[in-house]
Amino acid sequence: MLQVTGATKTFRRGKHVVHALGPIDLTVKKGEFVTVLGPSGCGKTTLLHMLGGFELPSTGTVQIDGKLITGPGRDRGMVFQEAMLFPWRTVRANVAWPLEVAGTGKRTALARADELLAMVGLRGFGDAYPAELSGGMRQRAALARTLAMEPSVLLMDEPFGALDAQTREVMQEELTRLWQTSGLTVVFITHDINEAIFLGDRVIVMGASPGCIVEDCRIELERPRTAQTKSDPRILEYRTRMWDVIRQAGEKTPAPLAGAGR
Amino acid sequence: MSTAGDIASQLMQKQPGLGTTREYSWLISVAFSAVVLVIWQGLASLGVLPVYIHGPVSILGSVVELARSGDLAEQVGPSLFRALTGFAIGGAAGLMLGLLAGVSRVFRDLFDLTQSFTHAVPKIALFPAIAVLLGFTDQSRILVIALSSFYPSYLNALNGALGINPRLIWVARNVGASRLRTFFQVVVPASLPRALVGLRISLMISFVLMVATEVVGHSNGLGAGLMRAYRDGEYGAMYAGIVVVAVCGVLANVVLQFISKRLCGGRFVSGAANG
Repeated sequence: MLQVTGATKTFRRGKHVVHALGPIDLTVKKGEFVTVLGPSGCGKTTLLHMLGGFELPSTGTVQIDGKLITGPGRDRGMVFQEAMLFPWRTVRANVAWPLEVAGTGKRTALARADELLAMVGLRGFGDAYPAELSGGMRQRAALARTLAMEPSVLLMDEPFGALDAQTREVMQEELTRLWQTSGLTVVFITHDINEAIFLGDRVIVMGASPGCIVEDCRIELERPRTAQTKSDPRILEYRTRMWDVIRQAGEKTPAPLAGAGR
Repeated sequence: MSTAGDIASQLMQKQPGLGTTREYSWLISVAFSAVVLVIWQGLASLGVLPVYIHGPVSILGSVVELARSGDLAEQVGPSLFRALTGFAIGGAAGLMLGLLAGVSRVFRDLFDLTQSFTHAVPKIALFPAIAVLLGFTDQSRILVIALSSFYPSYLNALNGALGINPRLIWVARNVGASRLRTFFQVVVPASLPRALVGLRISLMISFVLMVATEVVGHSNGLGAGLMRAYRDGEYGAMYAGIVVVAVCGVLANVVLQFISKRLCGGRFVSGAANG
């Protein structure tokens, strides 16, 4: 279980202190798929980095299973917008790296990497270098590398944001399929409303300056969700509701330019 | 999948379909050199050039003569030893300290000011000062070469390390890799493309300083051979010496490039260092 309690983030820009985020209160249950939706600059990435332990809150706490998060850990696997594979390693060696770091023998690590690659639909691409793969395939490989750490939580920062529309659709469906049997807790950042609704058990809508949660909406679409789910009329209802919330949040807060640098 | 070279050629092309293939571009390079040589030889044969400028055929003859007399082998050995030893010492030191300074603020602060002051001093100007200490010996020559070849390696390794995508380091932190492992398995390979460019510049500078240090003081080697040929008015031998220096430089570079390609593996399929 992830628990964010009164977390804020402030940072100095020259003489000014910028209040970027919070206070945020959020609980993510074990095995839950939570999507975080918000405009750029609302601090959703900062929130994710706090969960990952890459940034610490200025005030408040972030906990996993009751333990304070003070730094990154293998229990919380990050997936970035760019795949961030090591270009000097083959795809297989990239996926095997977290295992090697943990002290697994090379042969076992490589064999496990092949299993993971098959799982994300990259069977037979182990010998390729990241530069030889398409954007979608690189993101699959990055997911496989993160899964190699055997995390209990997956933290995804707009992982499909840089992909073309078709690839993104396919990746969304694959991710739900993978998640369905994994028992993983997922926090997934996006600015795509449809993506947020299709993937999430809950959609957290964030507003900007300072970043805050303006809506926490449970999505009652049946699991497992497939490509058919995407044409469910309820998606449109959720979508309309989200838009209303986002619009209201936009009216309430000052324009981003006026808010910056204060 | 396009390489960096492809991008350049695509910019110059009107029809992207008719891509410049590898063999074809090689042909262009050779053809250009051949044209230059032919024109040069033509001018020499016509007697347009002053007597002290020899044509390519005559220079080639001098190279053969130099090789036959045994002078060539006698000169190349000591010269290459100095250039490559100096390069190995200076390049390796530059590479290691540059990478260290790239990842450690303390090291960067430590070296930065000293580096920028000493960089501007032509190292050949230090040769007399070093000679006072060590004499006009192999040691002093190697020291000057090493000092010169330090800087390009240092600066490029430093900038290579500074230019790493910070997210790559985050991946290592997420995985729980130790600092040492992160340095050797992430920072070093990620900085390598840029660092190798530095080594390449260092290698060329080593050859420049090799000749420069051999011209001064009593020495053997290619630089000394050049000066002797000049003094004795043997212009053929002089030009032959210049050609041999160039050939040595080219060959050393080819070897370094080969090693570089090996070290960088398949990643230059697209020339991207942060896929």
